Amino acid sequence: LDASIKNDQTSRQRGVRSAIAPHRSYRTISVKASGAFLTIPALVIVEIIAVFSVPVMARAMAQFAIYSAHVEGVVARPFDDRFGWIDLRPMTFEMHHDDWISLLVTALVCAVIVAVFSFWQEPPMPLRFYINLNAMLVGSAALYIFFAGHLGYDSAAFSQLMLRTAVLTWLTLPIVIALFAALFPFSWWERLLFIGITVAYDTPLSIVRYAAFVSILARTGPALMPDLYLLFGPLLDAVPIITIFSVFLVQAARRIDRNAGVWEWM
Amino acid sequence: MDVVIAIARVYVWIVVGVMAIYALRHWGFTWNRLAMRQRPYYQDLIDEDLPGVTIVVPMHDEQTVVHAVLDALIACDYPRDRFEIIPIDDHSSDDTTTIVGAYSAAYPFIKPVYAVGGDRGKPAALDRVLPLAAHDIILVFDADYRPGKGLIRELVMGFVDPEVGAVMGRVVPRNANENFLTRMQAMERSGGYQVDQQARYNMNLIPQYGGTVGGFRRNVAMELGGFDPHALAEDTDLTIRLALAGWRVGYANRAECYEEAPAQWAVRFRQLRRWSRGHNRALGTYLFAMMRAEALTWQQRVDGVLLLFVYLVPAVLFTGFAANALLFFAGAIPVVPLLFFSFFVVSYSAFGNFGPAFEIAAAELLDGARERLLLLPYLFALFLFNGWAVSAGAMDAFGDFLKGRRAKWDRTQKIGTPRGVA
Repeated sequence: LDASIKNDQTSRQRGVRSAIAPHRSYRTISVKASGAFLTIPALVIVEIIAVFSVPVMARAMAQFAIYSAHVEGVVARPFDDRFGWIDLRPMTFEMHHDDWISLLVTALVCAVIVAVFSFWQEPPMPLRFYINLNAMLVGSAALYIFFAGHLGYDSAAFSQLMLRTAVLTWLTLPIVIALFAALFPFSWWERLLFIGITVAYDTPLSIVRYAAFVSILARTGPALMPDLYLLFGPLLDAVPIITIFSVFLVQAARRIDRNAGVWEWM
Repeated sequence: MDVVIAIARVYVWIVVGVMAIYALRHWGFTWNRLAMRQRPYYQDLIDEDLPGVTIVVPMHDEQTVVHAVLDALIACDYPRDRFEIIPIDDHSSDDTTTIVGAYSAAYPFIKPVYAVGGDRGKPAALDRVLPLAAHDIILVFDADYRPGKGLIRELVMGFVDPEVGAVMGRVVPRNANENFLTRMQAMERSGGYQVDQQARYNMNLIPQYGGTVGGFRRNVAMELGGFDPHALAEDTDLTIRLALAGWRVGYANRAECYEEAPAQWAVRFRQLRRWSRGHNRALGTYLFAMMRAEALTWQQRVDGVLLLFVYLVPAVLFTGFAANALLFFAGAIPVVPLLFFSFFVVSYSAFGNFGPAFEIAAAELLDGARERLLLLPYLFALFLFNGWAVSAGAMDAFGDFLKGRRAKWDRTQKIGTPRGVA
């Protein structure tokens, strides 16, 4: 009883608007510009670390792909490529050669896949559209090679493109993440961790993916190259960002739920 | 070939520029909703005299949902002598006519209108009812909506302000937990209303009248020429015409109403496609008028133009993707714009109300829906689906423009709950 009286007095002292948690439509969260500015030092720290470690990460990426190609019996020859202050060490590697018959068969199979998934209504639409987009990219690449003789990228140029893409991703990703982080009620440490983890996560992803692409292209030929790069390249980097973002947000939401005082009336 | 490559490169940069503008716009909205002073609706005016109101419910073959919406409206706490309900039976072929007739016999303030000839669809139905309404304030509810007891009062209070020409409430899917698709739509809706609409209202920009859970002044609508029976987005149409004429749209975040979100992919696809077709038609009709509107501030004009372009952006993204593919084939892909392009594709995967991931995250945080935050990455699964549906609608609108053809209303299929089961 004493406790309830005490609570009532506290409520009266605080006033009704402070004592009653606001309906969701009236809520705001105490996000302050000063809190958002804390993102800047976090970003600067991660960027400095990234600038210094990118040469090592790029070297690791190149070495792992060379090692992986060697293990798989793919003939690979690294060469020097200076990109800004970074030595990239891309490589030429032997790709499966498609003759004109296999290119036409590839295009035909892709056309059949597109037709089947356009008319077969059973699978969910997003899945059908995604399969069709992959098939269209592979099929059109096969036709392009059939008519033009080759794609714009050979193995060396593709390797160079993959390495440069990874380096630029590692350097630009923190800026994008900082824009996300600035909006939400994270602590300084959370901001630093959020920005740092996304870059840290992207490093092994890029390294393994590059080696996997080399292995796939060595077996299947260049018709898969645009599909791999455009749908499983930088696009795939962005998906984990949102995943990590959502995990950090859940932590922020837990903290808000624990402390009802965080909710403010609009 | 070099010319084609040069054009494709320039185009990719333009796409990235357009997306950056939208990213900035929505970042600003999210910041405004989370960190700035909020502008309340007119809910504190509880002692004000309540004006008369006509509630319009357009219906076409709605036998599964008509009971619920009429029961909810009958149960509302608005004084009975100050409102009428007009269910518009729009060429129904099921039992809707009989059900509406039975309600009309039991409740004298329910005055149905039966459309048996002429144009079909919601805009035609609204145009038909304008001269018949007894009151100057008209609220519109779709047949699958379930307004709460105090909703009419909350919405109507906005019209106390003589500058307000239309008001809009918040739409919340009541079947959010039905399946993956309805969950994703609930998240899109949250972002669109809790953050986007509220921020636009805070910033004195142009909140959108959404065609349901909202209302407008009858005389103003009639002065502006009524509703075009062939418009597929009569809500966007009215929003823009009101803005051009200097009227404001009020947004009532507290006025929540529950809808049945489409639970089948094909139904949702058709709905998005229809919205896009209608919205892009409005783009063609009002773009230049919006750019030159003297009644609006420059901020309102910029926001109005961006609002009009919203349903064209997925098509822009798709063509940007095609340009990237072409550049890859030619061995000339620019890496930096591609990185930003990929980022935009992922964050703008929620096209329903065009809320990027951070905007939806902010909305879920404000809603206290902690568990839904973990679903954010799955919005990416909707990218192609939403993008294709909206782009198809944009192509339809372009075809309408080229061929001078008139669009046919396509009603969103509702399942509803049979009476006595719920």
